[in-house]
Amino acid sequence: MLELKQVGAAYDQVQVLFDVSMNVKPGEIHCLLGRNGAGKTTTLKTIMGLVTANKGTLSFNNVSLNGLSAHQIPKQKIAYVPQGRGLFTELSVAQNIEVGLMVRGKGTSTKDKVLELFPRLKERLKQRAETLSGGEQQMLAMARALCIEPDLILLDEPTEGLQPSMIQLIRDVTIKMRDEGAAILLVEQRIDAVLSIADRVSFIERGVIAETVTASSVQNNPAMLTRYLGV
Amino acid sequence: MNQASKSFALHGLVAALLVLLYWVLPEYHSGNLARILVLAIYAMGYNLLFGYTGLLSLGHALFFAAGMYGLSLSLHWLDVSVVPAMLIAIAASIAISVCIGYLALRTTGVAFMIVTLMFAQAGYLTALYLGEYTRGDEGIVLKQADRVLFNIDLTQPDTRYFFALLIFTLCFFAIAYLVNSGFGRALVAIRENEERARMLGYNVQRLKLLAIITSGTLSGLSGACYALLFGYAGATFASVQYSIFPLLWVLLGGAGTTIGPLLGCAFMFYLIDLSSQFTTAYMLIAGICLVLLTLFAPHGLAGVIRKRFLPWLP
Repeated sequence: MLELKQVGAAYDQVQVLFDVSMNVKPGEIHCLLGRNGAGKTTTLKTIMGLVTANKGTLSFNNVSLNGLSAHQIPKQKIAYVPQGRGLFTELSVAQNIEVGLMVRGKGTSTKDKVLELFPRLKERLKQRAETLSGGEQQMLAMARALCIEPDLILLDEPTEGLQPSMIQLIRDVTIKMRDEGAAILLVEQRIDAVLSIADRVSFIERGVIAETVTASSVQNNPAMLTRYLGV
Repeated sequence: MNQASKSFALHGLVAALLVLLYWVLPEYHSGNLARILVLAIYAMGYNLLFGYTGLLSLGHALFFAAGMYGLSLSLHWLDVSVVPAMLIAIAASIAISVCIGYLALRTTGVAFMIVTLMFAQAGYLTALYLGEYTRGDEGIVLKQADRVLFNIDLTQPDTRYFFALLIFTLCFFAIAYLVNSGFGRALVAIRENEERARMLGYNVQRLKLLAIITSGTLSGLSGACYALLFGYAGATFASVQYSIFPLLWVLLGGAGTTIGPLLGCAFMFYLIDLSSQFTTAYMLIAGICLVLLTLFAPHGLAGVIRKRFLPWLP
């Protein structure tokens, strides 16, 4: 289980996170919602060690993440699919996946398993990543993250700018990973898409987790969305 | 035929072609080619850091000079034979690469360029300052008797050419293997997206340091071979000019390609050689050609070949 207690983080002198306290359980899709600039992506980056927490504690499966370098975090079986995908564009699809596999010494079986989730990538293994469509790039970003066989997956707006069929595919894969026992922390702007698959939702406001509720309670209480998101 | 087999075949073909060229070319050009082959090792080392890892160093002359002086000073002052002198040269290159890498990697981007440049300048000035031993700009001329390896006289044109070719071929295949290995892929991942590579769990700093050490060692090996085969080591080889050369060779030949350094090195060598036959303002002609090539083939010669004809080109 991922546990954040009173986490604070800053970019240089600018404090962005003030009090982020939440947890994500195995087999759960936990969605982090908030307005632009509320601290959603910073929360994910802080978990990944890309932004250093200057207060509070972070732990995953009872292992403290505080003080670990960014490259040590994935060794805790934590995968991150960033906004904008962050692919190695000059490399082919196969090479992108290999780079994901190599770091944890995973082999062909993991690769096959990952490609089973995204059969479209199988057809484009030799294609350079930069020549893929937006949806395919997102699939590749997720496929590469899954190469480490993660127990926790952080997804930052995975459906941003995608056509409906691709959104459906990403949703299906997310649900499948959850059903296989992974904990998923999802940041998403498309509230309708989120609420139908999330188990719990945390609202973040100006770097503070304001409330954590079940997804069904949000669906039954639209006023909550208006209060935290202005929709 | 898969990509690895094609790559192996291409590298073999290039090596075979270079063997053949010795008998085809007049002596003047085979002498030039020996020089190009040795300098291409330097360019390959530079390419590993710049073309594959994305680190732009302006101080590689320090590594080249470390190998060059490591060998020359050992032969000249310690009176050892070629093998231990070569080992000293390689050890010196590794030691300097480790130190420079460790310090320079505390910086990134422009600061990295400046720091490497400053270290190289410090090395250059040290070579001049220790003129009593290095003979400064005048340099050390190695005796013919010192340039003998296992009873093979390396001052002869044929032995010199084939020794240069042997070392070049070994490095050529080693680099081809390296860039297709997990290490090479990780370096490309760092070049493409450093933060992403870190997020995948790669220890980026360690990999960059390893890249600098490998690159510096290859550059040092090239410097040592240059001194051994051409019998001279001078402070000029530690100057900023020799830090800029490998950058130009790699840019012209094609950064991030295994064959690009050789192409770029040969192209620039002959560009200067030919243009100097027509005018004393040969650098102007060379400069115009370089600008045109950069404008119309920004990925270098091998980049054009890769784009138009051989997409699998490593």
